[in-house]
Amino acid sequence: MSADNGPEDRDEDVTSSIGRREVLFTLGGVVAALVAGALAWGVLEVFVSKGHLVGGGLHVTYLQVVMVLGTLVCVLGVILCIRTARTRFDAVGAARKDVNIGIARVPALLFARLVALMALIALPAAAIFLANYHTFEGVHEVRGCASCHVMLPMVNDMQDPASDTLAAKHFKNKWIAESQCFHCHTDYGLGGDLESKMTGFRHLARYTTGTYQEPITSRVKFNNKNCLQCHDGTPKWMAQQAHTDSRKEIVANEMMCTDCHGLPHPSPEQRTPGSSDYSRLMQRMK
Amino acid sequence: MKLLRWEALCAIVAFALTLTFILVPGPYAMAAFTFIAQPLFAIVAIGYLLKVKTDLRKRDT
Repeated sequence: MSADNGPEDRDEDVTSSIGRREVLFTLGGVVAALVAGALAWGVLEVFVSKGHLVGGGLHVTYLQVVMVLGTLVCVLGVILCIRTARTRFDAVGAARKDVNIGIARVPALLFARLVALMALIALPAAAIFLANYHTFEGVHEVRGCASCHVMLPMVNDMQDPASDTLAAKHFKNKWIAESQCFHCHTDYGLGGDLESKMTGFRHLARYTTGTYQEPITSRVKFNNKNCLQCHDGTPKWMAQQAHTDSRKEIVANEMMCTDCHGLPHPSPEQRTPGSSDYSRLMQRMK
Repeated sequence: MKLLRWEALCAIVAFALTLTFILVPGPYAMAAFTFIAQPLFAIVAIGYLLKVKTDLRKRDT
């Protein structure tokens, strides 16, 4: 589809330059967005609550597709936004010209309005969808979790063959082949519940603004369903009398798996800056 | 509807932040997308729809 109808259309394309007023409005928009983001964070802080459910964990890795589509959408969006910013709609309407779009000729004003609709509504909606998909489904990798340095103790410990934490046992015995963090924390994925998403966004805001203290502690209670999704009903699990006797309490999260099976990650004492284990646990992932 | 300049400029900023997050994912890029780009897109949509509404009302009268 081409908006250009030869030299004659180019001569009549009514555009104007960006002034100080528009720049100020843009800065105002950015400030307003920051305020809206801060308000969203504030709401998350207020409504954060305990206990959460676990969803199905939709696991589809179309990361490359998302990256390519997202890039196309964003680049096209920028191009159409530049065109929209330079268009004077009243002047285009007054000019009463047509634009050749390949299969038909449409009024220039209609075309300009369609471009604006694409640039300001359709493509942003697509970009938001793709980026959110990227957020929830593209960060399953262990490396993704380790990109926040407060997560390094958990990741380093998990990959330490000498460690006896639950996460390390699962890793070194290859009980989980890949995306080990996500397999035990499926509620952070697209299939998880809304509260987990909100908690994740709150953590993100805390981390990026540096408003947290080490060692970090979880305000939401871990859900046993994360463990039971693999272990429940297996012969090994059922063979333990304690499991069958307490199954109701375990499913209801009244009794935690970690009550009997030990810590899943290093203790808060080990993760406290200044402790003897801290520097070892905080080494950057290779 | 005369101009959609500040809406378009805000959208460009939001697209740039979104593209950064998609290509170079990380906590800061994710925070920029979540807490700046998304609200910016919402503000852009509101600004656009308000101008369309004003334009339609003007034509009715």
